[in-house]
Amino acid sequence: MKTKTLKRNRENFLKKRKVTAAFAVIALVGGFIFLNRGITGNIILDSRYSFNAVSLIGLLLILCSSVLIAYSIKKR
Amino acid sequence: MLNKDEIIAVLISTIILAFSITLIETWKIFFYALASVFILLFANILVKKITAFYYDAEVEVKLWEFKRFGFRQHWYTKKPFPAGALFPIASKIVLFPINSFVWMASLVFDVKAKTYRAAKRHGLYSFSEMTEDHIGYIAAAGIAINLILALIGYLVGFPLFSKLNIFYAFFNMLPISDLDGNKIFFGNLVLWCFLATLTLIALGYTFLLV
Repeated sequence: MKTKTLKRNRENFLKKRKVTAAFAVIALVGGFIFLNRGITGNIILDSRYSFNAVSLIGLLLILCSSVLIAYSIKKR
Repeated sequence: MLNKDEIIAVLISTIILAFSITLIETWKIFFYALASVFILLFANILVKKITAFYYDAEVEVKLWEFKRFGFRQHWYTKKPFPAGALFPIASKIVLFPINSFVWMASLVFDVKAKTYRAAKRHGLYSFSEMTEDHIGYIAAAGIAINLILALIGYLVGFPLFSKLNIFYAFFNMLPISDLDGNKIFFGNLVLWCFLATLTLIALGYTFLLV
């Protein structure tokens, strides 16, 4: 019984509000770091900046953080 | 531990991946890549098998193949398409300018519950089959070990090994077809987000630093 409870606690650890919120912040910060050049909007005017794989990673990170934020807000 | 078919699948995918990554630039680099790919695949499978054992199940590894290519019922090929063997080489041609960045998701796994799982875990006949949640945890264990190996490789001073681990984790995290990412995504979305965050941060730093 005790081991079953421990197992369940370990499995639900990632779904705790604090943990999801912390990871959401990490993902958001990481996303903005990788997006860097795209944040200001100058990227639209400057034709030197082309498509960058790192910017795409930043975008995906922000997407992940949005899911985690939604989960941590929704969870009671 | 590994049956004959699994060993053949691992060896084939190791050779294909090492070839696609290096294109046998020099034999030294090729063997370095070969050893790196073998270690990362072996670690991934081993951890999955251990996790499956923990959930009273069996994991069988095979080369990634798909038959169906669309939403409609008749959209499928007569013979399974060996995507795990062909995608790495095809991606090397398409993504050639980005050094050693090739499609690395070549192995998938099937999970079967052991016969005594029902009686042992949740009472007779309840949850006797594997739940999507548990399959997701098994897949996640493989991704996690690759990320840990990448960190160890980076700290010890093996940049290529570190890179390959991150690429392998990244491609396996894609939620498509029968890949690990799909199993995690439909098993536990939050866990997928956690692992995707870690993998993407690692991938970003791979492009910027390593």
